[in-house]
Amino acid sequence: MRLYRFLMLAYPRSFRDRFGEEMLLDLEEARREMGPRIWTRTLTELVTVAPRARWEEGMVKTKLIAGVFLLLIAGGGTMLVTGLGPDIRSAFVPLLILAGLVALMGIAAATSRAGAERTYAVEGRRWWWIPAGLLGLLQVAMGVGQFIDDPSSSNLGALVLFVLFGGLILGGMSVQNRVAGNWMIAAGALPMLPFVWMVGPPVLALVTIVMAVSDNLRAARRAPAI
Amino acid sequence: MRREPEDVTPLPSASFHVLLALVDRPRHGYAVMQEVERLSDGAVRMGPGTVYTTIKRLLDGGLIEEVQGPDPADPRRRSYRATALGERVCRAEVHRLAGLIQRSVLGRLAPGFEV
Repeated sequence: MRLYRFLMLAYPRSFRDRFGEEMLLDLEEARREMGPRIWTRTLTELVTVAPRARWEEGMVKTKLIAGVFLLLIAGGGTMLVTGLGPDIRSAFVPLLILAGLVALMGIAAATSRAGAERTYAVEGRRWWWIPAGLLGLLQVAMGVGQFIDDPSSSNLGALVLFVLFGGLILGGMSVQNRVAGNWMIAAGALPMLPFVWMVGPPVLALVTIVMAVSDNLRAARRAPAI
Repeated sequence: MRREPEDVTPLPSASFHVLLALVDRPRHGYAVMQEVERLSDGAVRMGPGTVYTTIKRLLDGGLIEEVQGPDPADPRRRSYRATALGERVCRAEVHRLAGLIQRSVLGRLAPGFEV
């Protein structure tokens, strides 16, 4: 049984916490009644059922999807900045469109109330709000600082955009509907990705978007699949 | 939002077998394994991994619920039973499968077969 307790590591942690003791009891009982035959079935399940449980748990899937999503966004944005356009505006256009689409998803989720029942008080996953909050404040500070330094009309436009996207992040953190809030945070962080030479902001944006998108993919996965 | 049996049917085979085992009375995991084997005449044999991953899905879907185990002093041993929704889903699935057989060639070969 010690061996099986060890082999149960193949199942996701939350699953083990909830059903691990019961599984051990059942195996013990089955072993008494059926003899070693139960081991064939149990060990087969370790390579057939356990990986599926892990996949359904979503840690592998959500991170993979979020990673690919980000790679496309960050890669595309960087290519636009470094290769296709003479200035940063060429990268902003597609990113602004994309951020607008993500924000629309957030609004749609908010109006449909999907995910409204989810609260972080229950789930206790909030550490990534620190980089997200920093990013929101940084965006507002960048817009204001740039305008104070050079109060031109183009910098006024930049101020409005920075405040808008920073506000999207901070607003996303304050709405109760977590699915909508996470999409708003991801949308607000997107325009910071092309600032690769500044290192800090795009890293904060990467972390923020990965976590916000992962969280929403986890929420989608929770829709019961029986 | 009220869920209807049509929202979750057709059920995967393992879910249907476990739900069938929990419709008449509460059972714990090992009793479910035995009941599934009995109901299927030994054709379906589940191990603890299959039983509990299926139980988890059914719990998440609201088709079964946890009840006090056979020994209240042992919190490790929990029992489960079908909810009202679970019973309706089970009935709908039985009707679906029976209708399938009735409409098939096998149904015509067995004219006395009634749903």
